[in-house]
Amino acid sequence: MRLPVSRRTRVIAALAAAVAVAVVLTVLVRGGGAGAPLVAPRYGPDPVPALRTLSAHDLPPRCGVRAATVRRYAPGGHAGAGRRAHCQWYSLNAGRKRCGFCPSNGGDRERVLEVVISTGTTPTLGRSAGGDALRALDPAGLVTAGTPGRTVTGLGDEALYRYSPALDGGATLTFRVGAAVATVTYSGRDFFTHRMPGEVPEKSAKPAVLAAAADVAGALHARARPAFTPAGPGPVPLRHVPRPCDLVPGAVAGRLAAHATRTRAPVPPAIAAAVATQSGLAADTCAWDAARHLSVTLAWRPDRGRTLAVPEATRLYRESHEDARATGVRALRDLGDQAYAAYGAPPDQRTAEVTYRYRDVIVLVTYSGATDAPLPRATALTGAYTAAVHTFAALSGSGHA
Amino acid sequence: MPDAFWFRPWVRVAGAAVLALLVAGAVLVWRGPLPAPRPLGRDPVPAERDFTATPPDCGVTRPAVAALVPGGTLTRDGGVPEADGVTCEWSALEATGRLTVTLTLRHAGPGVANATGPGDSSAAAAMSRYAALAVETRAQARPVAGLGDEAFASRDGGQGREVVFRTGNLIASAEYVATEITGRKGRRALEARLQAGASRAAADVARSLGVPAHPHAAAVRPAPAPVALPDSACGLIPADLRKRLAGGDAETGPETADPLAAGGAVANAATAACFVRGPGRRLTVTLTTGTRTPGLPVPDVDYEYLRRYRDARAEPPVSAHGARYFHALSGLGDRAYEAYVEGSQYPGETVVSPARVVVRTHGGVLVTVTYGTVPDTGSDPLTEDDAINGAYAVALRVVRGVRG
Repeated sequence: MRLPVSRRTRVIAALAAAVAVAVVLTVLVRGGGAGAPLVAPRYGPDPVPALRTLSAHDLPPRCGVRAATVRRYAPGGHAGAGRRAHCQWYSLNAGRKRCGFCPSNGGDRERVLEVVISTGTTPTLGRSAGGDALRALDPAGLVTAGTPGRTVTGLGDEALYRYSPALDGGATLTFRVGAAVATVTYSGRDFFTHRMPGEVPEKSAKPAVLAAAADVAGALHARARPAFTPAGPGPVPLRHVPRPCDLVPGAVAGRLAAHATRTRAPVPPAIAAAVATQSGLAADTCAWDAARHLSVTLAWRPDRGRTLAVPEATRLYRESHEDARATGVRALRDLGDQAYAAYGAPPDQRTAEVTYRYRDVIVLVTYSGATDAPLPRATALTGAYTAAVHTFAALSGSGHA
Repeated sequence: MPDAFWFRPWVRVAGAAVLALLVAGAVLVWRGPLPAPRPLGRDPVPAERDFTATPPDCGVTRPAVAALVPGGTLTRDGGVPEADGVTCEWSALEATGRLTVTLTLRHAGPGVANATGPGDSSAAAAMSRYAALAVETRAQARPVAGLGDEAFASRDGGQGREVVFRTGNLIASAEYVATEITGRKGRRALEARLQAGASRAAADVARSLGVPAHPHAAAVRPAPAPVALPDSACGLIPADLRKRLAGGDAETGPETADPLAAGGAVANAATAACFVRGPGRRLTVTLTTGTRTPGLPVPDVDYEYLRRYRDARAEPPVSAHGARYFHALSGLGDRAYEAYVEGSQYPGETVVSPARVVVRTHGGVLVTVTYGTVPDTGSDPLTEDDAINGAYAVALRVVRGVRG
């Protein structure tokens, strides 16, 4: 029996349809991902103004510390009128004993007031003056050194106080004015006949650094009314930080880095430097490596409570933003709470980076071509931004928030 | 349906195609004598403790301070929970001793930047550090039992004694130093007093952590007899297996680093290695033997096996939905495990998601086999089963060869 022609046609048509479906599925599974559209970056005005540096002429004589303050806290000390960036007053027995840093005996009381002002004109290699200044005031960086700092309000742009006899010999108050950083230290020891020397007590050191720092800030034309104000609860951090590999849909990864295998990868240099120097900073990187390279890194501090989590992430974002200015940074709109794009950062100078902060998590997306076939700047930035948009959608809309 | 239907040309072509697909599928499914399933064993390694904070005053009690450093005042460095460690030191002008206790926490896993390697077990990271401390004090270290998970005592290089122990991811050291000068006659009594003082402080710390706190000298065991290794491990991999796993034109060579050696605990190890590299595939075999570091509770190879075991057991895949496989094995050497973790990649290695089979042979050789995909070559990635079966098949033959 011959099949009716119409039926044979239907069988052939069904086979052809099955083959077509198989081809489409294969392309999608193999990572063609033609359906995932690319998203052009949406740039906006930079909401993070560059921090101002000071020149040597901006520095006041004797670092700006008033004579009355010296008389009260380091009587008999002399800094020298020509000093502007580094001033020190040494006082022994309230000025009654004149001996500069000599061996002391029982009954002696030694006090040292010291001010160091960094103008921010010589940043660390590969970083920026603004980034250096922000890092100098980073409470997490001070935690690494042993004793956490306390935030001081009303002094310069921001200020941090620490009493640590073991590390500083007394109290230290560090404050920032633009990209300039001033550090005021009050140290010293009380010598006893039959006991080990005692470091200067906090009840003496704290008012000394507050008074001297107010003098310096006033001379730099910055806010000069320091106060300890307890921080209230900050914005809510993410409930759960996901694995970065789970933030980029397969079709998007396939479109940007076809046939790539995703792996857990080393943290990129921009974040690795922060992880190495800041206490408690966690980072997790996922990489899709093939002819093109895509990576997503999440950085956050898992052990911070609601008071500190978002403010510290905001600071880390700003440090990164400041450092990225060297390679040309453009602020982005509608991506996380704040975002920027950069292209050409070391080491290969052919990689696009999109960095954004969402609540307490910093997200860094990098995208580049092969070493011998680099991507044009616009293509690389569009790829990185496309991936970043999808990571933000996953972070903000899938229960992690 | 009449016979004429089956003899139509398009039906014959379709039938031949279906037959060819069936044959190809059968060839792909039947992969020859690769051993699967493997004999699995129970997990013999207890779960490790993961400390997140250190006890107040480093765990040393006031009576201990009063006895060891009368009138001593405490100086602390660090002490915030998120810091890597804390040091507490008691000293006084009148006292004849100074006590320094240092507690160090090690953290590992996703999200934690770990400079020593891809490790994911905090306890394994602490083992690496503990082994390094034991190696540093190699000549003077004496094993101590009854204190934490493992402990040793040593001279501190000067006129002092130190007791170091590890429990989970925490390493504690208690150093008791005399500030008095003694003649030759009094030295022995002084050394005994310092040793007892360091032990007492260390026991206080251990008690505050809720771990074994009764230190006593352990027997010093001799180092294992040296094992002769071949110049290269390549001769232990049968040619047919090599061809099956990496293709007929695979490149082979003896020079390769052990991909799992980062942060390793084997001092002065002797190794023999082999790599086999074919299209999209890379196989490595490393044989390692070692001696015995005096401060470690077991021979170096056994210690390193345990460190790797803990790391592999803790390693998560790159995705919450990623493939992960870890099992202790039985019937392969003295002890063995196999692991596969999607997205795993070792520093400096091109292989993605390598399956690993690690064996400690009865003769004291650590055999490490890795087998995985090299991307960018156009070859399909290995499946989880293919990777593990391949690594296991090689480990089986290599262990037999080492024994023979």
